[in-house]
Amino acid sequence: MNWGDITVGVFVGVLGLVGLVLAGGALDQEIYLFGLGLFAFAVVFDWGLMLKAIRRAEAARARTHPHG
Amino acid sequence: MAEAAEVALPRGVISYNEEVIKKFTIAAMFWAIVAFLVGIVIASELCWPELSSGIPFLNFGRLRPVHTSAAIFAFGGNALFATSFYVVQRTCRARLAGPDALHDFIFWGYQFFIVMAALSYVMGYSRSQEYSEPEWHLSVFLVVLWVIYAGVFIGTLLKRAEPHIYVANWFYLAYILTVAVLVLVNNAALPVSPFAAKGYVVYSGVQNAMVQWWYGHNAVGFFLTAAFLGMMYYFVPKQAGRPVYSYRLSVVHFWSLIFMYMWAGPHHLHYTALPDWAQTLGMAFSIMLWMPSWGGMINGLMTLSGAWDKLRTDPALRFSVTAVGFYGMATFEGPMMSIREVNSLAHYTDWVIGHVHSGALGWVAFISFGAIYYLVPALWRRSGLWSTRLVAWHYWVATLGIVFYITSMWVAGIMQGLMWRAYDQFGFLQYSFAESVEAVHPYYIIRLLGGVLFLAGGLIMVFNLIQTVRHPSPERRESAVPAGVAVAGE
Repeated sequence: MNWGDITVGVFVGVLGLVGLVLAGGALDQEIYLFGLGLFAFAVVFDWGLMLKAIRRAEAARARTHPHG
Repeated sequence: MAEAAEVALPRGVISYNEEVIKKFTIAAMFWAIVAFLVGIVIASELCWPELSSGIPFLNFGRLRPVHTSAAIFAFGGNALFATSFYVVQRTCRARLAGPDALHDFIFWGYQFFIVMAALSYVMGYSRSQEYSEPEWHLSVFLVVLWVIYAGVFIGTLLKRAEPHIYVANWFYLAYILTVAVLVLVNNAALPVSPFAAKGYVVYSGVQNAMVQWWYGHNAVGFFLTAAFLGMMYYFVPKQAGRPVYSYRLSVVHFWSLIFMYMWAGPHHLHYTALPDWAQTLGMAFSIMLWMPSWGGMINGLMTLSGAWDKLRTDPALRFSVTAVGFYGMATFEGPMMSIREVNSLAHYTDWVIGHVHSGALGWVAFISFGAIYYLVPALWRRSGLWSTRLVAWHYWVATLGIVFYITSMWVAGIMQGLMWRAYDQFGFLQYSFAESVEAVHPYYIIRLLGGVLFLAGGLIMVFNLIQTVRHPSPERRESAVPAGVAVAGE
């Protein structure tokens, strides 16, 4: 995982936490939905980033050690 | 000419980020169908109001911003993200600035914003300001996303390998910067609480109306006009295989358009509490806009000089050229409607709806269709589209739909305006409002038919594009080579 991906991942993670805080203190349905939505968005986005990084690392390993 | 210039350039293979452009292109088509479909639902509700069945989230008032936002910001916005990222990379010979994860965040973040905004509208949360309905929390998210978008676009311009910034990028840059300023100023609101969606606009009364229509008209001017002109200045020359007719005119077009558009907003507030001088100023600048608008249209059309025969064989080019024609028509009609005396007849009638749709369907959607028909084979490395015949079908069905739509709204609007101002011999209003509603009912049904035809055309396009992607061509297109010369070379 490169530094660019890590920075974006952390930034989106912070957005997710903001979403969780908003949902936690929500005074209406709209903020509750938005907060939970932002949290879910951040989780799925960061999960996708990690999955991509793992796939890239595996592909690189397969290139350097083609026979395992 | 493009080819000759390219041969002289040192050719190096640049790895562009095309994955994010593919995603935006798919999203643009998805949201186009959603926007057209919701348009048909609300057009049906206007014909038969009982269709909403009393269900609050199917109410016209809630679905209408879903339709306008889906058409402008979801379909149009995704098409602009796709084409701006495509054009800036090709004409700068540079990969998008920043890590790929950031580009993915712009894509997924924008889709998240669209879904959340639509959900908030159907739940009944809205600022009730046209084209600016999202409450404060959604606006904050959009501003963060937009600043990142601007950073990526400007960063790509800064690291370009070409000495020249091609004119299409100027139009895209104006749109990106201006939309940021417009949203920041117009959406300024004081939330009831950080944990409540409701926020109160910081402006009040006529100042609020003035700021709102400064925003509203510049959303038309910079989102729906300048940005799509960027699309025109790249894709029309590419499709025609000709350089821009006059590069100098394109630069004059750019500066005069962005200077004059800023001042035209008050024409939305004729005969209101807005000071008379401000209304006159808005009207005068609107009329002055005729010149740059038609200069741009002529530049677009004249680019086809010597290549008009391509219209016979390339229906995708037909979309782009017809779009430029509609651009000319809508930018003639708009200033005319801004003249105070004409406005007294047109304002609050369906003529305005017809005018907006001649721009939205004829200009914005058609220029986007032309660009997407060009982009899909280029991005998926196909030698061409799966079926040119289906493109022709799409063109004629959609054009017929627009004709039904705008002519019915012209007739309905002018009739409404005349009925509302008719007096009898005693000085009383001749017609009640309900009578004018009854009179336009047949035209609402014709408008609905026009919308159905436009949606049918969109579905034909989606089918054709899916087939294009699913069927690899025997002769594959080579990966992109650099260009960047002022003829929009690939």
